[in-house]
Amino acid sequence: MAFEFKLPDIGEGVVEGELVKWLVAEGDAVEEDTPLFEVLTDKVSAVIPSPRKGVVAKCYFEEGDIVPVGAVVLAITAAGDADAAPSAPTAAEKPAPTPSAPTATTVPIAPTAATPIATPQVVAALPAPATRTADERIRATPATRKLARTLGVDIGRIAGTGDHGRVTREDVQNWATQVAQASEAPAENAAKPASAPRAIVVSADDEVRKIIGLRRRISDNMRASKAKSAHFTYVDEVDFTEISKLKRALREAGLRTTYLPFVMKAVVTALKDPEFEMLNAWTDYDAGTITLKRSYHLGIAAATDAGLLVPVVFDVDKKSMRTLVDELGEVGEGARTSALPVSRLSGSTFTITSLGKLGGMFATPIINAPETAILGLHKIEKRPVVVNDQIVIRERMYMSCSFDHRMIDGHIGAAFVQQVKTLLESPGLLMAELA
Amino acid sequence: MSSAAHTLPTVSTLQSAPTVSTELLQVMAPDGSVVDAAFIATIPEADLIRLYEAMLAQRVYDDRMIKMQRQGRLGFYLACTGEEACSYGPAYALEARDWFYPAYREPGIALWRGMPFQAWVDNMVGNCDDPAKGRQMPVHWTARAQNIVSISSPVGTQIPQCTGSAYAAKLMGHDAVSICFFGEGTSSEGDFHVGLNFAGVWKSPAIFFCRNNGYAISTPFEKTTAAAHIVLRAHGYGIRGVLVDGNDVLAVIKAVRDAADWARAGNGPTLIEAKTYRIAAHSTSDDPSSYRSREEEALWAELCPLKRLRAYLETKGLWDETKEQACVDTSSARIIAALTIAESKPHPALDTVFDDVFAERPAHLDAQLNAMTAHVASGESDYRAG
Repeated sequence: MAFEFKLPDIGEGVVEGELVKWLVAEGDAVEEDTPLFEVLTDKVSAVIPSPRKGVVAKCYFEEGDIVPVGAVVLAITAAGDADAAPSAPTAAEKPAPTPSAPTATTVPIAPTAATPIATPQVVAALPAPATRTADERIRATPATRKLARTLGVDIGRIAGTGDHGRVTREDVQNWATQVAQASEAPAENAAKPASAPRAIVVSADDEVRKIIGLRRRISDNMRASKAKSAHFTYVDEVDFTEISKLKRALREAGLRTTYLPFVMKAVVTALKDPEFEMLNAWTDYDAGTITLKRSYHLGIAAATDAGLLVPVVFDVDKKSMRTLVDELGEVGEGARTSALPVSRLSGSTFTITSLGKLGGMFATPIINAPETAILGLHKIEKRPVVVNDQIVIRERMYMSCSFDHRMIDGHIGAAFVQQVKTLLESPGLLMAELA
Repeated sequence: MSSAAHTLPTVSTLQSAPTVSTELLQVMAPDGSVVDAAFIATIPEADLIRLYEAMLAQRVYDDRMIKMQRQGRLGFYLACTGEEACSYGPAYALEARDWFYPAYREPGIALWRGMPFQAWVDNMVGNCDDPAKGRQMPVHWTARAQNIVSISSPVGTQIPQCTGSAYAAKLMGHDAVSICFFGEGTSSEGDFHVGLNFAGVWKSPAIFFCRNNGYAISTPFEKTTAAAHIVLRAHGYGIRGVLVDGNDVLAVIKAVRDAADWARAGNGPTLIEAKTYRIAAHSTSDDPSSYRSREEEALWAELCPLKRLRAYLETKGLWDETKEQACVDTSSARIIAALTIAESKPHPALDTVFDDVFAERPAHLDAQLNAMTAHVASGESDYRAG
């Protein structure tokens, strides 16, 4: 008889957890205490050790699934047990995982997880509309409710596909997609809002991956930003020749700086101008407020193996160039090695994203919500420029700055970029403004 | 006007005020080198070894309990990793007749003072032999025979209780001191004021032991108080205050012994602040990576109380890697055996929930007991009574 391991409540009243990673596979021999899987709950992230010695007979969930507390996660048979194939857990013992694909009741064609997908099949479809009566309670976790608020959708209208009709994260996301597509659909399609989004066709040699972990958080944030704010991007070219000279001089004096600290100082100097106070602010559209921040914390977007992280350098206006150089080194290293505490990954009031050598010409950066603007930096290279009717070689870079047009008018955004440009092209002016 | 008009009348004749020291009391430096040779000489070498073995064993027990919780076999656990000296030290320093009011991170009090090991483990599982009869969370044990009062989840309740029990001992002429334990976060509770003020006024033979481990769950010390130390508050209550290195078990013993001597001599209470660090998470429901840095954790791991005592013992030739491994193995076998027994025991009988509040069960509880018994017998619902 196989031992069925049920997800324990590892954090006082937690109802579910995301199975982040399997550390064993079916058929693996395990000892007592062998790490089985990693689970992420609202309170903790933990590695779950095996309570039994034996062989993993069956894993009931996939990475990225939300597993309810009390659900059978895996079965372990005693080594040498003839009954290697455990009976399936009863319905009462195994609540359905929060499905990423709709269940059979809502979609006519739904492949089971075990069915190899040989022929093209539709695996994504519309969620059914809610059928709950007025006094029926909406079942959803606080995190899911928050996501619904963030995406601006009414959770009461969404039919839940989870256990006991629970509205899941996927239900909310599917619904938001549907709403967005319905509103974008051309007029002839408007009459049939229930038409399916483009079917995802999976061929035998395709690979389907789950959108989980950091990637899911990035995806939620990007989507929330685009869903809420009205982006416009303004691009201009900046002459870095003077800054470049300054940088070389500092390097010769022993301060190994990059261009970024100069840009940070120029940005903060411009942000402190009352004309641009709306650019260092947090918007709460639901509350109808914009909070003008009086501290200057710059988010610095960083690429890591797991995905995009935005560590924060606090109080940039109060720090010396030397301190900024040191701190950028620390947060960069911390982001790469995942050693930054959450406190260093939130709280920015304005964000800079720099693509370095991959910079290209320009881009349309997405605002780091709830902020109102983001500055993108591109490649600095020598370009021919006309100065006093002469063609000369100068070091030039494009800057792409995206603004939330709900809050920032076009001429304000443009003037901000011009101000940053002026400060960078005449470092003397920048020096004059430094505290 | 004569200058006498400016002199306020004296309300009482105060003796010289008890001193409050903010100099960190240390007997042994973090590298195990000796700071106070005279004090070390008062502790037999055999006791030093026993203390080290007990603290090392505690680490093994804590590790096992956390794993048990992650496997779904315990509802909850709180490890004392990094703070072992703050429970084994005071337990060693005081006498069998003294009274203990633990917070929840002082297993050393139970185990050093002789609470049966199996009973301690039975409490974690909440079985029929749990001294708290399965009514409290794990880690909320009680040990009547060892003069250890039951642990309460609401923080700070034990402080006035300790003051009261110390005052009672004084009234009854018992030569017993009472000691209570709490974290620096709890010093913000009203009970802290009530307990310390009353004890100061009435010179209760009490010891208030504050484990300042840096965090009240996720709230850092600097958000608990604007003061540099909790011990400074002793000034305000007119009582003795001592700041001690909480990762130096010998310094903790010295601080508690001095406080007990002071109390037994009729001088009243002492507030001890032990500076330490909670290397473990607050509990199995907590994830410290979200509020403190790994660098900070690594720094304190170096200062851990076990490393310090082990370094000293090794210098003296009293300890080595073989003994270390043997102690870990023995402790591991001991805790696993006790847990196996604890898991095999039945839950407390359902009808025990009607016991203990009244000496004689009143009629309305008899009626409830009968109704419950009939309901369970009907088989209407499935109760895991066994």
